[in-house]
Amino acid sequence: MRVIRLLLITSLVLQACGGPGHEANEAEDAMTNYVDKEVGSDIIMVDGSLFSIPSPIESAMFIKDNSKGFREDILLNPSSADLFATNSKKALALGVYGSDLGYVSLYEQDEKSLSYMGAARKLADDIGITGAFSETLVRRFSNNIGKPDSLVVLVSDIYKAGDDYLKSNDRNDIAALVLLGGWVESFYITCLEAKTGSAPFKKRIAEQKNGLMRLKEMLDKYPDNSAIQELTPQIEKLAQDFSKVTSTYVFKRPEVIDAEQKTILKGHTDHDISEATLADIIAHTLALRAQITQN
Amino acid sequence: MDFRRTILLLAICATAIISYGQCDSTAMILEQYIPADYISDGQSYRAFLVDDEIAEFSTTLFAGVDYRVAVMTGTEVKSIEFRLLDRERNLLFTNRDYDMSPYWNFYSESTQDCIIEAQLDNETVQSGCAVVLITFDR
Repeated sequence: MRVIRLLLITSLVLQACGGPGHEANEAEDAMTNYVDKEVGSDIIMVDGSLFSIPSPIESAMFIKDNSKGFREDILLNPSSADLFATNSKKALALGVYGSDLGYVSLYEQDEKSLSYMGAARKLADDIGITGAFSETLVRRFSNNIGKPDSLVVLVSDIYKAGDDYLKSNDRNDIAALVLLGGWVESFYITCLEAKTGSAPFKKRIAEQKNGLMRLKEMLDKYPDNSAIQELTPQIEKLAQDFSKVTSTYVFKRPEVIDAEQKTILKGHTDHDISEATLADIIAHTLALRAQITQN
Repeated sequence: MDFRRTILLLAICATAIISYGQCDSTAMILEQYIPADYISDGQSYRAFLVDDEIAEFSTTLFAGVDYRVAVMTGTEVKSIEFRLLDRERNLLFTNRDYDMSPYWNFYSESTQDCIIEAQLDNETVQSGCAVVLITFDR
């Protein structure tokens, strides 16, 4: 067992190195993290934690199912992709364009889908994750134009490939920025729909409380990233707004359908959000989105 | 850098490459349990586990959506237990009740914040890269 542990420690050290160009002190940090984890509980902490951020594609599907129609005017113009200067800004914009790509694809906006794909691919190239947007995937995307169900599967696969690549190469802060950009864009569209008075969207906003908290916790792992530092005050405001959203949960025993290998969760959660808090969340989300999409 | 240090560095490199390779292989095998029309949540969840360590993370399952969660370590199925807990840590599901199935489907009648845990089955494996996929149906 000691041999296995030693091998694991050494592999973690090298993963922290991630290949050429990485500093030795990062390896030491990885070792320290691993040792810290061993001293603590049995819950594993690899580079901090694992975080599940609500999927922008899942949000886009909800938006399409509940909104009155497509709204091009609220999206980030794909021609702006050239204007983002730093890798952090590009990573944020990549997340935004990914979310918009899912949105326009679901609405069968074929030409726009290709424009957003082009914008996302350009930014992915710039930040060094060209592999996620391989020729094959892009060709499959083009071949599936007009088939929104296939397109959203492809968009999700592309973003997962990018997430895989960034995390495997110890670029977790960049991966976090892509996730942040995607979450903010889909939440921003949700907020604009909620502004029209739509009840499903108001409920959806309240349901995102823990998603935002997980996002904030993830970003807190990278205090040295200047882009995250700049966005933190606005995210803090949003977190404060969400702290006023309350919920009650009633446990009920789940039902299992063996033949479908499925468990139906019967527990019920009720969220309570005041109009004032809703207005604050919307205002602060719009401000955060404006900051993220500023060149 | 002397010869012994070079050898040590090469050994470390080899171990890391094997670890990366194991994660990637596991992820590729796991993909076969995801139906073609299911959509990834766009994220990669991977953790190296040793002994009885538990990889844990929170997620939100939205009402009315069909989810499939798939979990695996190494290249053999049935070597990892995964559990779904509610926000009060009530156990909602464990694949231990279903012959350590590498995947399971979930449907929630109300949007729920849940916890997913993955833990190696130490009777079959002592360490490995745990890969978790969260997908949902259109």
